[in-house]
Amino acid sequence: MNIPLLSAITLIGTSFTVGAFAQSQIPVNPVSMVNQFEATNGKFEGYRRSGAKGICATGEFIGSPEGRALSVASVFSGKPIPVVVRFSVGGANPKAADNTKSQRNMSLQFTLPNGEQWLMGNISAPVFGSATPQQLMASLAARQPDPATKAPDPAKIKAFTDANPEVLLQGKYLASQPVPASFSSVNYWGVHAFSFTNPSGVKQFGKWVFEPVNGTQGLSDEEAKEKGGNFLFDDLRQRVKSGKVAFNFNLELAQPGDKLDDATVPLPEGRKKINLGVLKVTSVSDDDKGACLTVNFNPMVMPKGVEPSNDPMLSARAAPYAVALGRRLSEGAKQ
Amino acid sequence: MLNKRRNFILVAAGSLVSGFAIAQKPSQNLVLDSDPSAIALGYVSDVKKIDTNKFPQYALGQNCAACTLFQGTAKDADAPCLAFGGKAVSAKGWCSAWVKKG
Repeated sequence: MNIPLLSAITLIGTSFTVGAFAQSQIPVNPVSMVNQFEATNGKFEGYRRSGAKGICATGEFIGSPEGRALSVASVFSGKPIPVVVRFSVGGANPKAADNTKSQRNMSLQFTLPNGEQWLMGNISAPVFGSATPQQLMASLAARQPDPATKAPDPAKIKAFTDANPEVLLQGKYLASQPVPASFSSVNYWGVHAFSFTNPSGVKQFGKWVFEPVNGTQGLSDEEAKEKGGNFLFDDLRQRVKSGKVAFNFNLELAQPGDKLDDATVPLPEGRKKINLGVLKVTSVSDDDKGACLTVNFNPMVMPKGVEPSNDPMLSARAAPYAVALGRRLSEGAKQ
Repeated sequence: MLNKRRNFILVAAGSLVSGFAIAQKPSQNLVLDSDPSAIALGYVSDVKKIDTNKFPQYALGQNCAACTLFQGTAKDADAPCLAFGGKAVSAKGWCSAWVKKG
């Protein structure tokens, strides 16, 4: 057996070993990652492999004096910055129900002067579902439906989660919250740490959250049942029309010793929070089109004055997003 | 009539020249190999710089110009790439998100 083949077999074997493997530094091939997403969650041609059921909106962001003091990034200039906003329901199914306690997403594209952009993928939980791309691959593999039963094997899932309990934190948080009454009435966290550089060159790490200006609003189980599986798009259109959809872009400031390289760990409670500005959503697409269609919301695209942390899950989101976009374009991209 | 014809020829010639200039002029908003987003995607501005140990999926013939995410034509030295939020990449470049142009 030649060495490259042995290495390949070792790599494949390692990829599906549960537990200790989570700490492996072996890079995850983004094509394999997208393949695994499709194998586990199903393939819906043209749609995003995650957050498939979505709607496109536009708005503007106005940065605050606190934002300007924190970072030289042009986004905080105080001038209106056009923003493309995509709201979505978590998962790969474009017909996912709106009335379940699943994840909601708010992805953003800030169009900045001098050709800069800031792309973000924010989620309605303070933590991500995996700490590393290797752990995400193994998590997806553990949940892949068995070809015979067409359902995931509970024993495989239990073995994986017993060895990697942090992957349950996101689901536990979502289960503890009510079904969001609206895309506009739930918090959206960035989950990863980023650093911000001020005019004197001083860097400050933090984790952000977009919080509805008018507060959060959830549905009781009874209300959620009555709403049915398709109410979020019309609700958003109505609320935006009445001018009531806005979010405070807030940053929790990290302190020395805080864990910054793990998106399954939020900053400790009570960290100082500052307001970086307000995002107002001003229009919503009437149909399933809009400016979002080919934006991949790669969270590694950011302006000068903002830098990524060394969170391995943050950088690992970039390539699979791009691979998935390439596939969508080949298939005929859908919202 | 002659003037009109002369003008047409001048405009057409001018368009060809400026078209050529646009195709050859490097974008001011190019992705650099050292950008965090480039490192995350394993982007290199020249396929000759690919670390094939790190990216064994690279195959001969793959480059940005042949990728579906590249928003330029075959003549463009660089063009915006959808993987980088519209920033431009080199036609001779490559990244780990490469998808064959359909």
